Amino acid sequence: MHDRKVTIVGLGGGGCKIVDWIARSSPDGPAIITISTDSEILSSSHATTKLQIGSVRTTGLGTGGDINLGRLSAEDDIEMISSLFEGVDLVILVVALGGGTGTGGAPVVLNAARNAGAMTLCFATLPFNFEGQQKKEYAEEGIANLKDVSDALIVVPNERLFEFIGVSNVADSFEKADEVISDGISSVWKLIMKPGFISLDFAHLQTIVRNGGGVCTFGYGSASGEGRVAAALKSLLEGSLLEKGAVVSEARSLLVSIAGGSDLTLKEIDDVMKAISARMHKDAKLFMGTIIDSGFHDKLSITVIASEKWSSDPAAVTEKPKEGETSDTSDKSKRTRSTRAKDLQTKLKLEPTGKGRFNNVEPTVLDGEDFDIPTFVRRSISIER
Amino acid sequence: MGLPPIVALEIGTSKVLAIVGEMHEGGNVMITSMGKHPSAGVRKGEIVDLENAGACVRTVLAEAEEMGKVSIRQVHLAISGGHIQSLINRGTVPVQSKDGEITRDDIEQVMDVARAVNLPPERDVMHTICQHFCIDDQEMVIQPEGMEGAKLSLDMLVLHGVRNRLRNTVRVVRSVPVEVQDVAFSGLCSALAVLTPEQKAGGAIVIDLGGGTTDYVAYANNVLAAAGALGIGGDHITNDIALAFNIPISQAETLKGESGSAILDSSSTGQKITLPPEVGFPGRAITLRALHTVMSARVDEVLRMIKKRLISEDILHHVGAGVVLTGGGAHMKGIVALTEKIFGLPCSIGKPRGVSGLVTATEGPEYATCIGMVQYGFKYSLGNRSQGFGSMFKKLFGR
Repeated sequence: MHDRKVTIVGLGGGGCKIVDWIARSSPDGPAIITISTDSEILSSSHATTKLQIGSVRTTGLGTGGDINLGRLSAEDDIEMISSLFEGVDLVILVVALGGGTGTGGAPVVLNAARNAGAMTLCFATLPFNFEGQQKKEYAEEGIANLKDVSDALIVVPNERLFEFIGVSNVADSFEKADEVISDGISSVWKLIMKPGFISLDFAHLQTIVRNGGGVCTFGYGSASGEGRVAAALKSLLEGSLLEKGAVVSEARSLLVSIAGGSDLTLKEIDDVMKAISARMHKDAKLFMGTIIDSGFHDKLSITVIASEKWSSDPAAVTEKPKEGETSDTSDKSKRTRSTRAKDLQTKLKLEPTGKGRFNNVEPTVLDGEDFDIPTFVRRSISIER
Repeated sequence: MGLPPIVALEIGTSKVLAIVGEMHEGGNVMITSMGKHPSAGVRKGEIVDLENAGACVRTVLAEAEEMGKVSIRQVHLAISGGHIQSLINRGTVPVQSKDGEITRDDIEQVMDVARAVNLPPERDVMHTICQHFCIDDQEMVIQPEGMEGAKLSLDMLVLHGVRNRLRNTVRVVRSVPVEVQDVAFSGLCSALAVLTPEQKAGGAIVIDLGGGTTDYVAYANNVLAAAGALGIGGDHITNDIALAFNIPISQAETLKGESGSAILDSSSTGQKITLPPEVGFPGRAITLRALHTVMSARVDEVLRMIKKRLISEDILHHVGAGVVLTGGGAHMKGIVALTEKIFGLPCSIGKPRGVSGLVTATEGPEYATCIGMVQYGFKYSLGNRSQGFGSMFKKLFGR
């Protein structure tokens, strides 16, 4: 697994800033690329490779929030973008949705990575509420577009980062938010690429993501010194990233990664896992892994990737029932097994053509879609029955 | 009193409603009586059973006659249906006079040209509504008479529907038998009832959430910019609920009305509703959150569909005054918040304006269409029809 080549790409203003953090904090890390329409952003970047796109259209000034312009800019320079991904196994794309270059260009970049034969993992942040309704809607539409082109999509609403930010000034706030996310990304990357004594790979991540209907969220907590386990757990489970732990208890599946220095003990790992297991739903799937990083003196960090029931965008609550999901619970006790089986059966009941009272009525077909079929069926939203 | 009372009739998917209004001094409309009955023989705003629908109309009109001590011989009919669409047709004529001054004749002529629109053979024009004039290259002229130019153009919003379906609704009324004096698109009537002049000037959208259809009308810069209807309504929400939880339609309807919500919020987490057993139904419990998920998905979809249409017609950014909701669906919990979220505009529930009389009828958003039809009747149908919503009724349905 060591030989795998990873590239972290920051796209657009927001994405570039986040990967810049990674570039600065782990200089021995993977290749970092920043792609932007704004030459200003690129000139201050610490990335190993910088690429300015759409210079003909934007004259290097950015898109001004125009998503279409962002998409066109990426399409203009698709050849240059594709050349970056040659021989790469995993592309981690970091994008702050809501802006022009990021929202418009991300599907183009991910497609280029896929066509080059790389796996794609996309970290997308959603704008703060105060950034306005329009931006928020762009971002929500952006998620829908990303789901199809990324193998794994992890969504981080900036709103949930408030807690890490505290009452600092604006510039510091954004900086702090970027730091938290970049730490999260680093830990996911390390989890997949660095050896630990309990290791996980990309397939695990994909399983989690698939269970969540293509959208995941992540939680993060870290602490150092005496009592670091308790402190890290507190910031993880009582923080807003996981909605005070609610995401953990509702998640269908979880991936937990514990990173520490050479002083990480089994007892600490056990404490963390006990605390998380106690919170989660008894039928949820749990994967865990550890990372030993010599850069972590005295410090411990916990990263959780959860397939959450997404509420801000109903379309994203899709849950594609997978065959075989029932079969790998073989080791569970009979009691939990029977409740789980019952659960699944009611949830999987699909009536793809059921139109109820509209069965014998002229259908309402708009844009090729039969609107008489319930919306939750067409959007494959799972309903607790 | 000069004007005879006007009887507005709406044959909706969930209810048939008749409202009688009188014009009082000072232009105030007074609602004097009404009749209301659950509908039969109507699906998605269109007639599927002439006989049953006719019986409902008869009942409703009898009720209104009884209450108002009037005899109803003719009605104004509000029509909806997913087949109703709009388009904008631009007509252009050269200015006739030698000095280039635009006269009344030029205006009449350009109106005729702009009204002459080529529709598919099965379709007929319902309304033609003047938007803006254009003199040579000068757009957005409101009153061109007396101005100078070489050529005069006019944008006309043309509302059209499938002829047979429009005629079927009229047929129901004639079978009663009662005469139909005029017809109008119900979405237009709702807008007429609830919008203030300020809202029309600032740009506003009226969405009528009916049982079988969702009508929408958008005003921008004081003119009607777009109108249309989707064959999706409250019945679809009920049907979705019935299918989701495998319960009878009647139970789903009650559930929607009593516990429903168009948005998901934390207050519903963990709560359950028990459905009592009845004949052929063993009874069961469902979670509130699941109910709201089913409803929210449907309502969200319909509203976004309208938003998409208005964006594609380049209208949404001319709308500043917000969205006004009418129809029975406006009573749904959370609908205002959801609409505000989707459109990013302030949203309110429409109350009929400028009417007095029967309190029940003048208060509720579900009466907006009929009250608007009464107002429409007084404004355009009787005599004064040179301006405004030129209904094609006489040409269409005249005997």
